[in-house]
Amino acid sequence: MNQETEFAALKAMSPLAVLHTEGGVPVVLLPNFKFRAGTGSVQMNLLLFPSNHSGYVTRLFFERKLEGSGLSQNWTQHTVLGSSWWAPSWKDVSPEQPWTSMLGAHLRAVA
Amino acid sequence: MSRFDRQSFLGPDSESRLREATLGLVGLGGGGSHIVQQTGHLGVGGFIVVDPDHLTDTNTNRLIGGTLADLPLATSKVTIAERLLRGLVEDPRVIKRVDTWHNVTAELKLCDIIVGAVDSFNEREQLERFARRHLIPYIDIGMDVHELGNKQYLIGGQVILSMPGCPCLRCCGLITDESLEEEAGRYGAAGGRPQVVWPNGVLASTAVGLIVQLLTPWFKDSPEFVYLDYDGNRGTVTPNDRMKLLRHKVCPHHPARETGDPLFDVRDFNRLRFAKLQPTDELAARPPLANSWRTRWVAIARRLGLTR
Amino acid sequence: MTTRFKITRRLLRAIRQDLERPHPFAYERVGFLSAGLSSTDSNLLVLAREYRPVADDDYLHDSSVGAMMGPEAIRKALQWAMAERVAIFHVHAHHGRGQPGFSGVDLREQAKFVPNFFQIAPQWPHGALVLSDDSCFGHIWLDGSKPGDAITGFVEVGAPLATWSAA
Repeated sequence: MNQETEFAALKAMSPLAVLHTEGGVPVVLLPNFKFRAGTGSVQMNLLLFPSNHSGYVTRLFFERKLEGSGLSQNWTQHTVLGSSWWAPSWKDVSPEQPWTSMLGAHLRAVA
Repeated sequence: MSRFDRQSFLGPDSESRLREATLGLVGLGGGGSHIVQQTGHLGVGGFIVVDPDHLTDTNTNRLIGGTLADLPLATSKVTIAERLLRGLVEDPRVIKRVDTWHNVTAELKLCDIIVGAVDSFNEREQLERFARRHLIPYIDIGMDVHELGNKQYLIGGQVILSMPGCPCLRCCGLITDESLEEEAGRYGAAGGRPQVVWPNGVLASTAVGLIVQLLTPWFKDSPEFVYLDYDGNRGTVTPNDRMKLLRHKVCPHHPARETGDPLFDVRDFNRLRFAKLQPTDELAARPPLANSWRTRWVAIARRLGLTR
Repeated sequence: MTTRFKITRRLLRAIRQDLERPHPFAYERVGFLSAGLSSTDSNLLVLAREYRPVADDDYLHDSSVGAMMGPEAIRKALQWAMAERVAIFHVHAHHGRGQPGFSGVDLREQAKFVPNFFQIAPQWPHGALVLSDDSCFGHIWLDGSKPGDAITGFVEVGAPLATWSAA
């Protein structure tokens, strides 16, 4: 999976996207990303971690915990890129897929 | 004469070095509480103590400073730590937070050393990474009681000094993707793992020795990477083989280019800084200049009562 | 505002060793150091990352000063700041012990080239450092329009930690 190609695809979706690294692996910041959560639309910073993190093969971090019926309740707090983030317990989103698909698969946890 | 005369061998300015230092202590349970007590005795002056929990009856077998009178009060572990420190240190600088360390990073990033006495591999890894980003030496302690079968037990533990640039917890093999995955599968529940006071004491004392080596010059050529194994059955603390094998290794898990906050923007910093200044104090509102005449003028003006 | 500059002992040692190397014609050597930043309230942390010496060919002949960088040296440093999104500090050394200071020439040259970094990397502060045999001093610019402030304190990260403050 070519990192530049994957990032370019995400940037096409979210022009403000920025590529960072943590532990030498790529991490994509998606500022002010709009997505559906529960019955409404939410906008916040997201952080896509397309490799192993905290025991998950890939992870999506949210600026804030999302609360409400129908949403995953097992949220945990993390420090990534030096800042605090939240992540639901949502496993087995494969790293062997385009990052755009990976993002969509993670967002199903809060849809 | 000073009450620290018996530790004067730590160096002629050791008292002030310890006094001016700030330690971040994450986890004030069985291990962290020993460290609070000992560093207080040593005369360390500044502490950021962080733990979300309060004392419960199953902690009283090992939490230093906690008493039975704290139980009905549900005294927080950081309050116990602060109480200990105020009894040992004159005017300690203590910031206590009944919270997870993820919410205390603004304070922790200003520490000279961070000590992690936490239960989870995931928390260790993230705390270490946070420390590395801020070029803060990180000391990790942990103990476990393993059942060997036939009602036999093995007490083990480790103390690791993770110095920026030097081998890390992953280099040591303490943190692996497999251990993180296994822990995540348990949703991080440590459960009622066996814990007793004396191994915590051994590990914490060893960690305090490393703290003193970092803060005072008493031990020439102190190693910058330390990995010590504790065998509670044999009563030994010995260097792990990796300490020799990896001593010249540059850690690949925390690249030097990842120091700092990647989201930092000095324009935001400037805006926030100037927004805090008093708008009516025109002289104070001007940003400081390197030219010393400006500094002198402000000082003179204040003495003459020309400005607040 | 307090500014704390942190650097590992290993990196600082490597910088000192590099600056000691003789140059074919310049009396001194110079280099650039990149850094990450972090902040809390009015405390700024500058966290050193990597050092790159100015290449031998990028010095100009000028016997009136210890060392004079050519435009190529500055161009490379500007490129570095932009490509890696880092703060850049010019580094050189004065012999002797105790806290060093910038000479009049140092200050004049800094005022010329440091503001240029804000043209291409305005989101980071930039500045300059001078090392003595056992200490360090520096200026940090928070924007290109105002002269730099003295860095308040330095921390050499190693065993033991070494700290020193700007007088």
